[in-house]
Amino acid sequence: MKEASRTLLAVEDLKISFPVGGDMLGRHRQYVHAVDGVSFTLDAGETLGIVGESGCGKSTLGNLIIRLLKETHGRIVFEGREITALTPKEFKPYRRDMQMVFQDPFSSLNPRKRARDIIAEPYRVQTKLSRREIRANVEHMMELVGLDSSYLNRYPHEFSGGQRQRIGIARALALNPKLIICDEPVSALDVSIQAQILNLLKDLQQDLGLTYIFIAHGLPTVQYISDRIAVMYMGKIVELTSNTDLFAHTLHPYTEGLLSAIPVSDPSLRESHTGPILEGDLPSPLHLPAGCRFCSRCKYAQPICSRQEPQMREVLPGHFVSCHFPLETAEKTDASC
Amino acid sequence: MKDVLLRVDNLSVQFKTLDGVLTAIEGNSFTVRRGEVFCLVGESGCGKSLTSLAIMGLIEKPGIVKADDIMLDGRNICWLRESEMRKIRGKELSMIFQEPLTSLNPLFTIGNQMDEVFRLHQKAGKARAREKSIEMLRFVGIADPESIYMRYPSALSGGMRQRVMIAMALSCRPKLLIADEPTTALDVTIQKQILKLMKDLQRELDTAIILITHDLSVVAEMADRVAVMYAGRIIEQADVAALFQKPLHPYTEGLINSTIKLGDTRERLPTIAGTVPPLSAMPKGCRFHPRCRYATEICRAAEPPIACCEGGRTVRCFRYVDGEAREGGTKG
Repeated sequence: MKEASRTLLAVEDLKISFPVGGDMLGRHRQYVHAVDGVSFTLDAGETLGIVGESGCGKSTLGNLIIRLLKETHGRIVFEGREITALTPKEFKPYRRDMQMVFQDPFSSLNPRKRARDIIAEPYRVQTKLSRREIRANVEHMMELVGLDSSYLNRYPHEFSGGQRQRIGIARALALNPKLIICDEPVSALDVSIQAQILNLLKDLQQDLGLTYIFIAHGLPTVQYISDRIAVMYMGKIVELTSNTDLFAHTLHPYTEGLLSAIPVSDPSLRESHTGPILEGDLPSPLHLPAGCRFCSRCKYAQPICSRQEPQMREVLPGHFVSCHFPLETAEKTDASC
Repeated sequence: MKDVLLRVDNLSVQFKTLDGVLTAIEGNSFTVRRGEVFCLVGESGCGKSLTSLAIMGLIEKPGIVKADDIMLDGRNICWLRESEMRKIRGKELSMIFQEPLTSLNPLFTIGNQMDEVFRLHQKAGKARAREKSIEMLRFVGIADPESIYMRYPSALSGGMRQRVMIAMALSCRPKLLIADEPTTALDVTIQKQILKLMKDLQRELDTAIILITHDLSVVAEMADRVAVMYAGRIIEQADVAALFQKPLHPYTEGLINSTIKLGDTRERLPTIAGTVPPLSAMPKGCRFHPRCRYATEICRAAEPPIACCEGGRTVRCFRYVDGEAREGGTKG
């Protein structure tokens, strides 16, 4: 399916922190490190899933890549060009190569614009096409995402949630981008509609050779659509590997907890499905535990885990994990705990 | 039928609007047995939340509730006055909601809100209520109940708030707990904790639960019996195992098939074509027929009656009117 792999996007040690509180002079100001040292590469035509619980920084990461937020540290290289070093003006031509599909199709479409104007906007901003050409393009986009062109003059409130998400996808695809960041594109939709949108995204990827970053909190959905998956916890990627490996050879205790938290898909599996339940809540992002961020909830934690932060390392080929005692390897060396 | 706790007979809810009377749910009947988990499942707008609000007597004008009977433990609660309903709510019948932040009052401490239940229903004094509240907080697995008792809702995490809601709802050991999407706003790992807590408490207190959800995997995890709703109608009722093994109604079948399972290798997901019709434009005949791949002439002309199938299952579909599928298999 994939042609010779070609790196489209490389993210190196990306960080962003937001100031919180403090007085007028900036005293007692604290920082939330929403994304704290994330690195990965993405090949053209690939789908990278980013999964994690709320507040783990997955959406912030998406916004950073697409330059809706400015990083405090790190580099983003897109097609060999370091886009983090560009001024907004220099970056403008790159915008057409990266687009975003948002979670909530109710708030991401301007309620005062017709469907035709919403989809036409990228053309007006980025191209010098004539009105007629824009109209033809918009109609083509509507058709591409499976909407009848008789809907062109409707306003967003006249569409259902699934149809709105299709408009959002059409808008993202308008300028023929290379990379699409999907931020929870199906979370707000009903099950039967979710399947329609996921099928559409898959079809479009095949037809147009798109590269996706698919951000979501539901592992089954992410696993269904992704080639590789990055699991995030409190601003860091804790495990990054291929879709199948993540389930077959789970290395990070947090991934293990996430997997066992997924409800069974069939009532007959209820008894056999008794994985470890992840106890406790997410720690406050203002007071992260010292050492490994996960150690406060980790049942395998050792003294070193609360002292030293584990570094991301390649434990198996193509399988990255940041843990002092990755599960499969830990069992061999230290079975007693 | 002595173990029936709640029997709802022919329940309808209508709303008077400028466009005329809209029927949101129509002619639904079901029973909940003592100590079981009964799941109401369906997509948004199918009327599952309205059903629960109708049972709780919480539907106000312009809503109109019609029912032959709503029997709770042998007592008809359908026509009770508000003052009498108040005595039942929170005591015999209680409810937890989807978003715990909006259902807790932000201006009062957790303790203050929890005490109210005991002071109202059990006429407990201040000290006694405090004691009982802390005991309930500990009961739902809160490690440090004394300090949580003093806090305001905004200081708690989502999972913690939902635990408080559950503690509050179970304070008077109700016979029936209605949980309306209790874990939808929570993260998966917290969802797992809350679902397990509900199951444990249900076993311990022998409380019946009506669990309302759109998530079939929550149904698979929790339910004893299930009712599937579509466009205001219960279209299928069955034991959970039977439902997942062999869904009878084409809509149930579509829902189960389009749900992604972990390790799913299907190239494409089967979908249900089209969308749910709006209340103001319900199709004639079977409400599902425009989206149904088995639809025939009769489905377009008349609404199907409730057909009874083996194992006490009921389904509202013409394919099963004679007790069996009339044509074609359910699936390969």
